[in-house]
Amino acid sequence: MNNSFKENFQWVTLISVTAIYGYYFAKVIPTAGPDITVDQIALFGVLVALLVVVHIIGAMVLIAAARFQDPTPDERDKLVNLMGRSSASWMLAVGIFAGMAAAWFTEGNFWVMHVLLASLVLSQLVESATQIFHYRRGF
Amino acid sequence: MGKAESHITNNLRALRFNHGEMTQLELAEKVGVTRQTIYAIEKNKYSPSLEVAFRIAMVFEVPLEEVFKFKA
Repeated sequence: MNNSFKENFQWVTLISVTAIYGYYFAKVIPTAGPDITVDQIALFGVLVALLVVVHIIGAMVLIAAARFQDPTPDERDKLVNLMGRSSASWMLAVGIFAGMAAAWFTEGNFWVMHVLLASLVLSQLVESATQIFHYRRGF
Repeated sequence: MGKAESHITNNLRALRFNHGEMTQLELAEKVGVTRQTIYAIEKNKYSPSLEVAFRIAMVFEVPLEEVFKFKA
């Protein structure tokens, strides 16, 4: 296998974050009201816990699969990580401005919270996708 | 998926072959990087730091320019 542990873990993150937060937004956005409800907070809590469990299981499986290799990041992994975080920071900045716009133009806390959450999710997806891109393309 | 053409080429594959068919994993362990990074260097998908380049040359006991070449 020519993918490093870090690259494979980014695939786990990309797929699990897309699936779990995709499910959350698909369930919650159609029920949008002025404020967040207790049910929405409960669903969010359950899905965050699920995401943590998926990541732990994913890491354990990948470490077991690469049993003869050290999963400690080397200089290439660190550079790819930095490039991913740089791209993600742009997405996060855009999301913060979108959250400020939502605070200005909408009633209650629902849209502000969800625009900010969406920007966090999108920045994570951008980070993982950027890292996978650089691992595969090279630099 | 191809990267922008690198000016740096290397002889890692030939050097490994001439050193008892050393595996990528063996070289990686001696240099202190992952096997995937050695693979990426061999495929010209990654130009290593100066320190790693010197470590690779030290493993093969050759000057740096016998491992890496710069084409302007």
